[in-house]
Amino acid sequence: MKVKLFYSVLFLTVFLFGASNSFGQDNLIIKRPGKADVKIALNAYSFTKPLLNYSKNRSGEKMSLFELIDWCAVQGFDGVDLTGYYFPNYPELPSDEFIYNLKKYAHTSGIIITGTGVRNNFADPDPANRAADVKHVKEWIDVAAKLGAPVVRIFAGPVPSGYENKWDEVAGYMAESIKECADYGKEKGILLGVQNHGDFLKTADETIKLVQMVNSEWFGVIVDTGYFLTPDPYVDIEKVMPYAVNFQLKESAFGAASVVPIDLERIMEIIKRTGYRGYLPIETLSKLGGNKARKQAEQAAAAAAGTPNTTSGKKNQGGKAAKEVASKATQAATSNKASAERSTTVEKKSGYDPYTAVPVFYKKVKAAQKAAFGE
Amino acid sequence: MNIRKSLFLAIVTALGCVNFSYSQDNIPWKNLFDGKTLNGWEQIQGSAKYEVKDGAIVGTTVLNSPNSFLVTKKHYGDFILELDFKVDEGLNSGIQFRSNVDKNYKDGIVHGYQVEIDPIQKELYSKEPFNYRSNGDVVPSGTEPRSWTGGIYDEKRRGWLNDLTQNEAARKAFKPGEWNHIRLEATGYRIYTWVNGVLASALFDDMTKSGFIGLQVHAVKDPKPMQVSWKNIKIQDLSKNYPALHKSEQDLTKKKTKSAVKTSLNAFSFAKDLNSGRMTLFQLIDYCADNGFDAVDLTGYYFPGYPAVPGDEFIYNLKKYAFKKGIDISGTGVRNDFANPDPAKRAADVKHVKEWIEVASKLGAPVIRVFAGPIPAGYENRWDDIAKYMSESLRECAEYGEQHGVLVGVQNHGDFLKTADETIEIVKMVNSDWFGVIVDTGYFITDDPYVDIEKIMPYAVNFQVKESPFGVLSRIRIDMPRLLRIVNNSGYRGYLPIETLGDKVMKGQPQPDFPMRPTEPEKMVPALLKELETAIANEYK
Repeated sequence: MKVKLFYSVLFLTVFLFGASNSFGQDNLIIKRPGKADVKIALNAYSFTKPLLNYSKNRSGEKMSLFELIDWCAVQGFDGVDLTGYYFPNYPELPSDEFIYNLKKYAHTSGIIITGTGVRNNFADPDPANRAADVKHVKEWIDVAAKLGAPVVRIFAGPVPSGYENKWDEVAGYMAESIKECADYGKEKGILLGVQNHGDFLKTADETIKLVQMVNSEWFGVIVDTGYFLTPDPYVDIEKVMPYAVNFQLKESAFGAASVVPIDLERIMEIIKRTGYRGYLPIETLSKLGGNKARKQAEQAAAAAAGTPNTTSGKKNQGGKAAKEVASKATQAATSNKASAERSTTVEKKSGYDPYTAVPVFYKKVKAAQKAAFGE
Repeated sequence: MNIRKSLFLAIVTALGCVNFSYSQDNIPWKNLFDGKTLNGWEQIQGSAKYEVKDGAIVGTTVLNSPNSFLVTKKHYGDFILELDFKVDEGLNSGIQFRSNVDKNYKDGIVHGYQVEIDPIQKELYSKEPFNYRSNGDVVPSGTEPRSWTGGIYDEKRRGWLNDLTQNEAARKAFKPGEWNHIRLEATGYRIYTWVNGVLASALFDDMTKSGFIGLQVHAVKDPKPMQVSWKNIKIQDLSKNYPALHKSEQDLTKKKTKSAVKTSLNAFSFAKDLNSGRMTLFQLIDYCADNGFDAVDLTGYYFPGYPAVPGDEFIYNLKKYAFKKGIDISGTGVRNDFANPDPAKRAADVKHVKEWIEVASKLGAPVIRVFAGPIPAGYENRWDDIAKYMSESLRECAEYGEQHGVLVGVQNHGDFLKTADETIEIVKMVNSDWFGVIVDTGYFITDDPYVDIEKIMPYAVNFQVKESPFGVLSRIRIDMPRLLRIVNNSGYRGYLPIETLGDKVMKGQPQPDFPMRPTEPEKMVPALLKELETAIANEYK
């Protein structure tokens, strides 16, 4: 009898957790006890060049993933986000031995592996291509499970040409692919997070819509603080917070090309207000990553310029709505100024050096963390 | 077989076999009163009269005097105090401890903790918690005589800290007109009093860490002289600088390392609640998040159905739950006995460990804690024999850990592994990159455990930080700054899970001649965490 009781308690627990699924989509909003709290991690991408030089055996300065962990330990990071690209022979799968040695090395170095990530494109209209990427994500979910990385970061993908006005159609097939991945994540105990990457996902609303379409407790958002292509990305960051499962904290809220520094105090306030508890990986970027960065800056500027159109239609609504419109318009105005600033600051490729850029940004983030959360 | 029953037997077996020799602190009692003179004492406030009569210190009230205090010249921090007292009906009195005078505080008035002596039964109170006045005094109401002897009052500071409204047994323990026995334990932030053997107060407070001990004669309005007497006043000084605790020299000069630590909570601290079902593992994760831990150590015992392996769905939901709450899973652990001479029993435990290595892997727990096991009867002088077969079993586990990316750590548990040297020898015999030590700061059975902790650090893969370095019944608290210096100097990077324990007499050990403290993890855990966090902040700033 007692054994039965034990199991019924177990089933009840499992049932209650499972059952919350059926209460609309509130289940997708992450409930967090306690005060907000963050641990600071480093995204491997910051060292993309030396990491790729090492993994692809190219010439130039090299860094292995083990050396990256050392670097994080010496700098004082809590964790590291080990993106898949930097594993030897990516996208081929690393051996168990390699994964486990990396995992052990991180643990004994006191470095948490906060996540990993892959290359994929679920915006691709070709079902075969998407299926191949689903397969790749699933394989990497297995890697994450072995590595002890709680989250795999995926992309949405760029809007395919000819699909510029077919957001819903793209979202439909994209959600199916992601759902398939999230279901696999559930089977392996790995969360999946989509990064708002200024691609198919430019705004919080778009990102949340996708989350709701996928509708899985094993799927959430990797908040990229530098890639909401909206007039006031801070508004989007706050909006998406209830779905946040991980972060990429960038030096600017306006993209790699912008020299407007991110308002870390504001970011910490948002984190405190929304009660986020988890990792805050930072990522420094080369100021100009070639065409992509330029294109992004243009997109951002275009998005900012286009904003008044989205609000002007509501102008003749009175009362509260008008107030909202007015406040949005003010925000847009402030951001237009910022976007003007950023569009003129697309610099020539400067000598990006992660060995100096990371500590500088890390120090700022730590100071902001300390100011917001105390010791 | 009934799972609960087998679980119970397993616990009894595990506890029963432990050769635990540090059940009590061998700190000598010292008399604070020689029975003849007031040597060592001084009156620092009030004009009440203190004199020695018939082997007791007798205090007599004087009209128009403020509260009077006869105090020790020496200051005490962590200590156990026992004494007998007798008091006239109608006279309030008390025993100050960790009390001080400071010319910058209320003109140098005596202030601080006081064990209340409260024979006045005129005022009636309710049994419910009270309304307090702004000075901390209670507004009388109700039908119960007060009788709060053994309560804790903060003299001239915060007023009542621990009244006896909720403790009827203690209210009735005081014997009017007779000699009464008081025991006071003040160890770190844990403060306990007993009146004639009955637990009166259990207070967690760390406002003042040290001060004098003082005997109070309260101010009176009645011109008729009243008396209070004290005798057999003795103390066990448990301060960290007690010479017996520092037998070895240790170089604690701060080195430059890249050490870093994170806090975690060992599930065992809430063993009772987890076992009874009052708390689930999910609620434990909530608790950790609420209280500001970085991580949690989810011991296997508390998974439903243990020792059976939990289903993937349960593991993954737990893992996801912890992640979304910002709580790392710092490790897990199992029950096993690799000291057992029976190869079949060891093989069964190896199988069990392997199963849980898989659980750890799925859970995202980087380390699994195993035990060595108790020395089997008849094997008392065969350490090497046991070590040989034990290390083979451990090696098999470590190899499996290697195949699944999970570190295996053996805990020095005061059992087969009593010292750092023994533990290191086992580590060397197992000889695997996937095997290390879970440093139990409370279970090295040696004269100076800090020396053993320092020695073992190069092999540390996880921790269990306990309240005392001398085991479950010791009142000597861990020297947290010293521990953190050792950890920092070693370059250790990783978790420091804490574990609080309830007072418990191990089977086969004699009943100690002192009372047990109540087990209150809801008070003990936050207090120990605060102590650890303070030490971390100081060491790593």
